[in-house]
Amino acid sequence: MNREPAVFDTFDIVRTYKASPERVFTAWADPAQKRRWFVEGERWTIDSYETDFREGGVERSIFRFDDGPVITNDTVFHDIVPNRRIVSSYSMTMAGKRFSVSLSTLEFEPDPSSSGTRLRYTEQAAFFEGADGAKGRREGCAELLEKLAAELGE
Amino acid sequence: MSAARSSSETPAVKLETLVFERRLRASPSAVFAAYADVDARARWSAPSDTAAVVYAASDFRVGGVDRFRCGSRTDLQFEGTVRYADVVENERIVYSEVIATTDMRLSVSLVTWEIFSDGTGSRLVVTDHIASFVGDDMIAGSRMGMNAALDNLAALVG
Repeated sequence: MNREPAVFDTFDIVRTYKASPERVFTAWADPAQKRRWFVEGERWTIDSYETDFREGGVERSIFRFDDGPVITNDTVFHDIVPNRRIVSSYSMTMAGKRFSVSLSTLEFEPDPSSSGTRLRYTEQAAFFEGADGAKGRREGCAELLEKLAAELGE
Repeated sequence: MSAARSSSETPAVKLETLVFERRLRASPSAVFAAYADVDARARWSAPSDTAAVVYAASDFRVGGVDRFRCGSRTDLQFEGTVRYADVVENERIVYSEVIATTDMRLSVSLVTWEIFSDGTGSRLVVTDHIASFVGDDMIAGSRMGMNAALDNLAALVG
């Protein structure tokens, strides 16, 4: 019996922050800061969060929403240019079933119209059975980038 | 390696999605086996007679890592690192692949192989999400390399 074909999608989100590229990059690179805005959230239970932010390093989080099933995110950092670029891939499971694998590219640039940062996030995703799909993923990423603004005090 | 470059020298990343499709006479399990067997894979993935792929390590399972060198037979100038993100026997293989020289990183890809049964044979769809750090050449090279590899695979398994 054949599985459903994977659904592939690419989206990008560009947003600006008042903080400098160095400051915005640090919010991704520093484990305590990243945990605060990327992992923690109201009604989310974090069972574990471990990260090793270096090329070839792995980040793994295990969490649940309310009394929902266990969700995991396994990330590998492939390419890191300090204050400039982070390329990683990440795989997600729910209740033990893998539902997506993505390549994510973050590019940090000085915002030409201010002393702040222009951040471009691009995700190239493969969604499998049980995935919410591209629309939900894009919305989730946009929410995270908004939480990053709050982490930066903006 | 790339950390040494200053921000002004960091060009924009070029992103592309390449899709390859082949109809094969071989069954899905035979196609999957031709991928899983690292000796077979080293043969069919070399794009030409003057090229070679030499594995230093291979661990084909979720979380496993392959390391190889590739390029011309006389100068294996590229190093590749593959990490398996998903493996469903006879159906699906998903991996990330980092390609670098000794000096710099060239690209990161997320590659999804889907094998569907199709009559008595298979239909293979390979989707390569690629991020190139050196412009369009790496994307063109990946397209050419995968097309050649899949033609070799088709010749091998039927």
